[in-house]
Amino acid sequence: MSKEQGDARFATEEHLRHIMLDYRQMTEFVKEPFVVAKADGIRFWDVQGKEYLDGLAGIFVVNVGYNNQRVLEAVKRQLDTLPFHPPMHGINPRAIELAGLLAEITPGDLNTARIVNSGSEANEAAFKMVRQYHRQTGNPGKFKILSRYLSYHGATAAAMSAGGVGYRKTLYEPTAIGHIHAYPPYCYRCPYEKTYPACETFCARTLRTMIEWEDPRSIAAIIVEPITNTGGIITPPMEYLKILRQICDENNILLIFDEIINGFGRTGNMFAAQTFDVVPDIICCGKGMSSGYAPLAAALVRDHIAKVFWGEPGTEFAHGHTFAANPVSCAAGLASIREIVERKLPENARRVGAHLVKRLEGLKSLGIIGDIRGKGLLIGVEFVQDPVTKKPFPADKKIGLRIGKQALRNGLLIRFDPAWIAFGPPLVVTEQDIDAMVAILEQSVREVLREL
Amino acid sequence: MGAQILRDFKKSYPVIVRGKGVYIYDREVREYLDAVGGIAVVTIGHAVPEIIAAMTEQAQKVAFVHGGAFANEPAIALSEELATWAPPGLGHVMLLAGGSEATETAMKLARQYHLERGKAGKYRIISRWTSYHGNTIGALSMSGRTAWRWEFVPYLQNFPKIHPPYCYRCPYGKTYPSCNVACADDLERVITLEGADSIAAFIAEPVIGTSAAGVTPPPEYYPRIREICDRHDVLFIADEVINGAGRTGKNFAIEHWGVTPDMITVGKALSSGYAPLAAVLVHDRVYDAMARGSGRTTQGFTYSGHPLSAAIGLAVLKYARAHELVANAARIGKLLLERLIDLKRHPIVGDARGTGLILGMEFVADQASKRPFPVKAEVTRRIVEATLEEGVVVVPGMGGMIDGVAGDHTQISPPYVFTERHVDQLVTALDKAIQKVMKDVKSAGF
Repeated sequence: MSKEQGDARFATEEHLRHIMLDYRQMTEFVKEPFVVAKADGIRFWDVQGKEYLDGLAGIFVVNVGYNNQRVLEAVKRQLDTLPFHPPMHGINPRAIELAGLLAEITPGDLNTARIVNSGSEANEAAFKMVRQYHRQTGNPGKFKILSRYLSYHGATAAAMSAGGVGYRKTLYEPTAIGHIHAYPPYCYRCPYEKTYPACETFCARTLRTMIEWEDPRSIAAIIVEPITNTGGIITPPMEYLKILRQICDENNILLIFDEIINGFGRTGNMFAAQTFDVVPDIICCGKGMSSGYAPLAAALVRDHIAKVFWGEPGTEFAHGHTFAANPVSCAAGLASIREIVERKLPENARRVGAHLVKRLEGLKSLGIIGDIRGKGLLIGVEFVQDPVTKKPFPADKKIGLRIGKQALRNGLLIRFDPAWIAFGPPLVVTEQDIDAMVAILEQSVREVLREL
Repeated sequence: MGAQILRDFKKSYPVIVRGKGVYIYDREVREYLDAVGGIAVVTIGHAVPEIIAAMTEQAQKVAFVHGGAFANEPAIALSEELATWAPPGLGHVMLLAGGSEATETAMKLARQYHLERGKAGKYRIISRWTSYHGNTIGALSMSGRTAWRWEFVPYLQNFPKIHPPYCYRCPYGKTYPSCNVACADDLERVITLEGADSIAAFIAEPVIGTSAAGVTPPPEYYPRIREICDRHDVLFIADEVINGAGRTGKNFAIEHWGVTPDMITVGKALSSGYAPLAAVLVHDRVYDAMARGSGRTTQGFTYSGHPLSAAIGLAVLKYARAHELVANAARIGKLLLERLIDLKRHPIVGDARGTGLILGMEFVADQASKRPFPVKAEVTRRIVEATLEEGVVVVPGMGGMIDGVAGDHTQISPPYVFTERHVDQLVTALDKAIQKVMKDVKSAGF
């Protein structure tokens, strides 16, 4: 009996009763359990031995692909040397080395890293750091975090409060105070009912008014995902983030890019900051940083922030996590980032991403594709009943969910939501891999349309 | 001012010693025409003998009983009277001692209403920027008044704010009617994005008060707000502390839109300033949900249902009814608005607006572009002071209605007993003041 067959027994309600998944109602899940056993390259297999193409790199994570020998060896070597030391009494060499490498690959003077375990932790660290920064630079009133509706910044309390998807918060209200939300640059369905470029990027400019109303003396930072996943790969016009940079500078507000999904090559450059040519004050990153070989994330800060924490006792960052800057995770991060750099994976993301967009354009003949957006290998598709009027499908049709689930049945993992789907495959994919993925998507859309 | 703490510690305030009708007098026996009714408070005029008689009579009977233990006749009678003033359905009245108490109470009743119906998640109140709902912490959380929030921001709740229906400076950069009242649809977008499951109520001043005095949304605005609220099980609270009890020329301002809110807060005009008094009018469906549920409320203050204040409120409402003062507010308001619009012949008058006797004038550096004066030009202060020099009281509108900082305007909210003669005196004073300020700001280099 092979290992996979042995693990097949776990895909039953009896065993699944012991576990809770993310955002999944378990009663639904046990009807169609999806238990993954092993992976290689851009493929994985479930415990029944069924093969899948991973069009989502897990969840925008496995940028170098599965079973990468360089990363595996680095992890194994580190496990043999030093598996753990908390970043409290001291620090391990891999963490220092990783921080140095991050300083090299980031734009501008984002030279100092706070290394943590997950994206939520990175954002929480950033929120606390910006408050302390303002306190230590004579502006103790600045505490609010301005974020955007439809965004996602993590699952922990403050990160959740910054998030902009109502249903992910309402069960946990009251959320933390001081989290305020602006409309995202969702051009396909502009919240201001305007049209780009005639709008002159009103959604960015109007933040000035919002900031004045909220009072700039009370606002510590603006956090944005340069390209937002949760709203449906919402991709701003090129000048949008530049306008935000300017507004932040005018009001002594720090600009945080949440690049947990965007970072490490996903948008066609190492960071989306480079894709959009804007240097934020903080980059929060994770996911692709270690390609998932170990939990790893970081908040990367510019020199003007770092220097505020390098001084008298009492001005240090009063914050910590037991498993932060774990040597094994850092070793995984170093190897993964080196793979991304040396194999020029951001370039591959750009090239293959362009091919993906071209192939998706080809599916427009199916008559339900309203919009295709994104950059590099972060590409979303919004489905509509009528592409001309942009009329959405009735909410109860859950068209995106059905297509996504059907694709999974057909052996393709993509991100799916009621109205849209997204691709975020490993950055090592080839044009041929994309062709295979899009073929499964097309088949799945046809099957769902037949059902409707 | 000796031991008393007033708002501006450095300022020397005129000491008012008496009032008569629409005039007030200071210690130097200087006469001022009160064109703001104190602050949208005085309606029937000062020193009206019928009110003095009613207050004396009640004081001789009983001035105070504890509302937690006893009911009292004036409070019962005032509640009945208010219910007859209110739009149909708003038949339940909670009597309070001030506008902030009223809005804070409405907020808590909204929460209680949802709780009693098993919707514990619905607790947040959506309001608008450029609004004012009171100065206590709950009320200030709802208030879109940047300058007054700053020092207390860490106390304030996460209550979302939408853009105001401020057509003169549309926050969307649009024009009515081609905008299709996008500012109302904004409420639905925010409810949806925030998650309707966390939203208890939407509160708005039907006609904006001191924050942008007189701004009156288009006819479609509140009907659409009502529909949106209904779709998402969100209560609509009309904050009529400034608007209510006749100021806009109808008993309640929201009647101009033909909309029935779930609660109306009222204060100021309710007692014409003869006593601190306010109320929340509660719709039957809200009351019934609470009555069917716990059948109680913890919401109460020492001076809730105060007999003396209630007797005064009752006398004021009866006086206003007997003298048809609400109709006069409508008539004089229309006339006054026309005269204020005439003042746009002066290049610094950008806008004149209002409904009934809640009016405002906005001052700009340039009429065509609507460019505001720099804040440091202090145009609002200059206008108010120059008008006062002419013997007429108007009040500064709250600065910052444009973006939280900039914006010059004055509030004009005369007593309902204003006559044509008073309108002449007010407009003449304003005319002179505007001309003086135009000269002054020019010579000051603005």
